[in-house]
Amino acid sequence: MGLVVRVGGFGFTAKMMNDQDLGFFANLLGVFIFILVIAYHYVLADPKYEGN
Amino acid sequence: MALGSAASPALGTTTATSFLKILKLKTKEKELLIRISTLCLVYVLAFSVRLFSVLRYESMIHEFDPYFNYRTTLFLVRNGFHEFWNWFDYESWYPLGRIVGGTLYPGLMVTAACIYWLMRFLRFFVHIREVCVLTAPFFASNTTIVAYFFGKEIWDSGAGLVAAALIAICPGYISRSVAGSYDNEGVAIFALLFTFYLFVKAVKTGSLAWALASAFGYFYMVSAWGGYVFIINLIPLYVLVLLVTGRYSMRLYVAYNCMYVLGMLLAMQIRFVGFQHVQSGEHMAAMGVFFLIQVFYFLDWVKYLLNDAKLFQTFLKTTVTCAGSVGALALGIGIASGYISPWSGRFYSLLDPTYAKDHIPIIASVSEHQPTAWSSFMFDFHILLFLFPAGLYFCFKRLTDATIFIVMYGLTSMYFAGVMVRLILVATPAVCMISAIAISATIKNLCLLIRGKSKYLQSGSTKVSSSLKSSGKAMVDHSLPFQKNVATSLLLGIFYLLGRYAIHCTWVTSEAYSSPSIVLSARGSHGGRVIFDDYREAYFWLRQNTPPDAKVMSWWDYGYQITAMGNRTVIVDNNTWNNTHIATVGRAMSSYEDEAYDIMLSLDVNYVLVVFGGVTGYSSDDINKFLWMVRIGGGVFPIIKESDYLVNGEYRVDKGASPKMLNCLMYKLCYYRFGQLMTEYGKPSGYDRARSVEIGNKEVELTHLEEAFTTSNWIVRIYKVKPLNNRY
Repeated sequence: MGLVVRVGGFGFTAKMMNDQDLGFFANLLGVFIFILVIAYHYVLADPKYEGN
Repeated sequence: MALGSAASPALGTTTATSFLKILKLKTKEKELLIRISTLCLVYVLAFSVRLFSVLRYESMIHEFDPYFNYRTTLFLVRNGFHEFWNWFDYESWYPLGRIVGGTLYPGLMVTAACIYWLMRFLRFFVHIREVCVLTAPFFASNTTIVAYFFGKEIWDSGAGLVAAALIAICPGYISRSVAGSYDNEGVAIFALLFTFYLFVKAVKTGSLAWALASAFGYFYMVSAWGGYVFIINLIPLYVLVLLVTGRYSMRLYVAYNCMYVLGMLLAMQIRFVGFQHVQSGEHMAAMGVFFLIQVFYFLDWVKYLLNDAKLFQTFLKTTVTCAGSVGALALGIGIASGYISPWSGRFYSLLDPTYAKDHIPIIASVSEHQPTAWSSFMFDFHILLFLFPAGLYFCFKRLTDATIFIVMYGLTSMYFAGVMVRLILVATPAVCMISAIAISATIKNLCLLIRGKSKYLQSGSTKVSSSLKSSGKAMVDHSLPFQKNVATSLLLGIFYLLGRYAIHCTWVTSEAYSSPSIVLSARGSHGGRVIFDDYREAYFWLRQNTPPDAKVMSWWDYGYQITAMGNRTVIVDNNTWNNTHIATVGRAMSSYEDEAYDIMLSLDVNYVLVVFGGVTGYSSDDINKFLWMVRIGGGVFPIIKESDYLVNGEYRVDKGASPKMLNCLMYKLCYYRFGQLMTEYGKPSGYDRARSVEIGNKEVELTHLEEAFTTSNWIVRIYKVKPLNNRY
């Protein structure tokens, strides 16, 4: 269970990340990074790119 | 979990590129933007994926060795470097003690202390424990950046980016760098890769600055981990290969000489290493190659002066023969006179995997020193396992000084990874780099196919069509039918594999590598998580209920934890430097109680600590380790024979166990009062859940020891050694 942090005065309640949330975040970020990696190669393959 | 596989790369790529179109960026700016943002995200991912244990349990140090590292770091920040360097520890290896400053690699502790002091200087008042817990993830993040630059150096920036992404989450590396895993490897893999990168850069440029930087990188590696021996053998081997294959150059000469000479001088400043670079057989290859490269330089010079091929050939033969003879003679005299020490047992066990089992039971007894199973490779490398050969293929297709290095690093480290499970760690960076080359080269080829075709189509269908017509047959489409579609499908396939890799890595990290070992967790009958915090319960009991000068005897596995958390003196610990001392403890544990009592009195033992998993089903307990105690004890004291504890070659604890087994000290201490305990519904009393048997001796009685404390789940049991009887 995530730890509930109550910020006094404003009635705002923030729930601390738990291990399941971290798993979701890591999966999401991992997959997104690989999308970026493919996008990077896609951009590099531009025939107009000076580096080629 | 399958969220990644649902998305498609084409969709993602299109979204990303359309986003970039909105920004109206040039290709170069797009490239820069994606590269920097990917590296930043990889940095964040490498750090955050290692935090499972902190969220699940708490911010704590894991396992065994990290407790010693933590204790020494604590000492360093409290007493300063001078005291730390000259620290003689009376609390371990009683009565021998340990010269801590001269028997450790201080790199990790000094790094953590520097981070701690820097944080305090910046007015972040954190506890040193938090710094220690997060040191390994922080360095893992830094490793990704080094991997990027290394990949860029070997292949191109695309490969570097893939390498950074792969190494950030590769389980082979995560296993040693999760939060709390405060061990030498945490910083050493960073240092290893950094040194290699700097050296390859030095060879490529011939720059003195890069060579000096690689020497300092090597120094950091030497200060951090004993695995530096791998570097000091791989680099000479690499240089030798370059020399043999006719790739000798001044660049190589400058790089190797600077790195070796300065690196060696710096490494000698580490007391634990001392003069080994000039005295140990494990370091002689580097010295041999150092002299060899001087011979090459000399020959090059003579060749330049002579300007006569025939004369030079004669000179070459004479010089090579003389140099070889002098080298062999010097080595022979050095070994014969004892000046050059022979290879150590650990080194031998790497070359011959059966060596440790026959000659050094202490090394063989450690589970991480076992040969690696195929399943471990699959578990730790996943898709990289079959991308690795593909990467090697690409490297061989484009052989340069840099790719030769990574090929050699990959092949040698994969061999070592096969010999010992823990060396998967050393192979991981190489596997990631080489696999990254395979992935990057493939994606690049596919993207070129896709974009090349699209350009053709674009130019053929729009305003340029007129110019096309004018050029006539010059623009013939040589592409295969459905080329673009096939390339897109293959790109989708690669993305699927990479997505599965990311998901696998997260799952492995979460399920297998984020357990602190010191706190155990299991699933209860209702599916909820049950936490066993018995270790810390026992160590805190020791700290609070025993005299400060009490001596605790336990198997060496728990030595570091007892001194770090219990703050009590131990007889043996995880340093395992004195085999006889460990064998004496092994002998005491495997002897009858009265014989063991004499040994314990001779060692001034006040308390005995054993770990027992019969109640909880915890299998890494002392009963399961007991045969190693017998073997190690028997290795020094032949009175202890393994066969006395076996029945027909079988290790048993039930009624069929051997009499010696049923009455030895370890058995008695583990099973004391256990015969009356009901552990499982429907089973008789004294049912051992770790071994799934009813124990053979339920009426255990102790004469010279008395139970002092048993933790709530019976995992740790502590006994007090009674003083000698004053009446006979």
